[in-house]
Amino acid sequence: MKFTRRTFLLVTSGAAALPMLSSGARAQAFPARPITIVVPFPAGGPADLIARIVGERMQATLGQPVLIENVSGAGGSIGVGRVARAAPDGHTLSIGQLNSHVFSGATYSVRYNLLKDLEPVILLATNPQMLVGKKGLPAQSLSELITWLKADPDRGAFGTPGVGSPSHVWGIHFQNSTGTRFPFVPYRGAAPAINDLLSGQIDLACLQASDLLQQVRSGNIKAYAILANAPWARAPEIPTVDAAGVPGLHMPFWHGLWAPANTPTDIIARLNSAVIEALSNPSIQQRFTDIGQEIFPREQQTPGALATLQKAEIEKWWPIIKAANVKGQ
Amino acid sequence: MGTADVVSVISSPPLRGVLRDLASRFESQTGHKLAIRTAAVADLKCQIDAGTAFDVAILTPPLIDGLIDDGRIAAGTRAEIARAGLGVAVRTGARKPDVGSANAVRCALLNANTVMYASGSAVMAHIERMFERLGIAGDMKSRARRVPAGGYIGEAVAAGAAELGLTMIPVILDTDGVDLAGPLPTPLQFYVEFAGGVGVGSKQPEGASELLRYLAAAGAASAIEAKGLERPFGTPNRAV
Repeated sequence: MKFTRRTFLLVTSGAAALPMLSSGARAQAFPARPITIVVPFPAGGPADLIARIVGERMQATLGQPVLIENVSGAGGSIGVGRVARAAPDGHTLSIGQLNSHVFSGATYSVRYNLLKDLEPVILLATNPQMLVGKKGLPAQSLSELITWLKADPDRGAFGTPGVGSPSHVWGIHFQNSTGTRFPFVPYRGAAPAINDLLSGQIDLACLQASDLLQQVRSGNIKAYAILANAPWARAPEIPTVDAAGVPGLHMPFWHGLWAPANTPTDIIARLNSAVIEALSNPSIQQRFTDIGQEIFPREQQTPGALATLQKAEIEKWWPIIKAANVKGQ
Repeated sequence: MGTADVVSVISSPPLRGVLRDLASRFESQTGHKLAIRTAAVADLKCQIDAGTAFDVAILTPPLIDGLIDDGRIAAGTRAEIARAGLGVAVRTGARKPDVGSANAVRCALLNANTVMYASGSAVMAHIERMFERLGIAGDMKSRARRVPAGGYIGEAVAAGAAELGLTMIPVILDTDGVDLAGPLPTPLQFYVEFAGGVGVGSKQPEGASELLRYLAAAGAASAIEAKGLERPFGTPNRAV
């Protein structure tokens, strides 16, 4: 086996040459080679689907292949760490959401700083979460549910897709806000939690609304609230958590795209406009609708809007996570 | 997976550097567009079992053969691509131990606080036989850290979760934040092979076959070697 000196020189000189160009020449030269989008979750989930849809279109507009790398594990922190350490040249990007790009910094022991080691590129899409209960629960509304939970702190088994997941953290926030207590039941992902809710093994769950709507519509589970400040366009009959009597317990499940920190601003701008081009394409918009994702309005498709939202979410959720001493598993 | 005029490729992580390097050249030479995904083998297997379509799959030969038996990969399309040996990874900047001989590897392992490798794989079985052969199986009990998802030992070492990582050389070379201390010496080496096949029902069978020929051809050899993989394919592993 040969590892020639030339091999390593080629690799390092490619990376080092970029910062020496003027910013205009650099933006023109970008992308110089294929772009990798690291998805910090297994294939098939929402972040992965979004990466694939947007990546395909970016491949056409940027003229370079876009590879998807699923680097899953530890609440997304392994995949985020991969991008945080990558060369800041725009060729390695990090897609993610509330769990990987907000919670992981508090639920896992990580070597990266979410705000300092990543450079926001764009806010992609969002999808509200929904609080649901099994078919046979006696409570018909959120306020009745709270009364039912308060009557016996041992009941109300609340399934989550995992310890430290957004669903779990929202459940803790709900307990704190309503003075209720109920046991959490962690699963490996949303699908098995939904199965056990359908069969009545657990009482409650809070998951991405698009994953639950069909079962709600068929009457197999009960919807108590949409965890957002405005009704969900796909099911406006389901009350918001505010309308249901517990104001402020919102948790939008949003997705964004980041590059490593210190990526030149002109390259960030080029990536941002390539994604905007994709998100404004009608067939891509339809594919987002098909998977239950709402694209952010044009004025929020900026690096600054992602930076502001990510920071606000960290400031909101980290104290709740730390006070409850939630550690990812 | 993907749109009709794009060749979708799913691959084990060790091939990601090669695919990244050759993708643009393949696209411009052949006119076929590629949509490439790499993921841990268990993740890919779940996807395939769930019915996800693909044009090209690059996996270990037993998995490819199993998919041929299951009618998911077209029988005549199996192509042998390359093999990857095992190396020792350290965090970038850390001192690289000498691993040039069996005795040097023994010392390096005993000097490390933690040694990480993938669980539940042929690689794990080999590594643990190697510990026994080196007479350090007992010493390694407290040092060994087995983790699932074998493609990401490099990430874990880069993140400081272990002092040394034992994993495939192309994974080490393609992970930012880790350096290759060296390949395992010949008497301790173990190879993982990679082969490809075209999905049954592929809408891009020509592009898919062309990519496999491209990867298996002599012209791809320099890119394969530059990423720490090697040929010939299929030389048997020796027993340690």
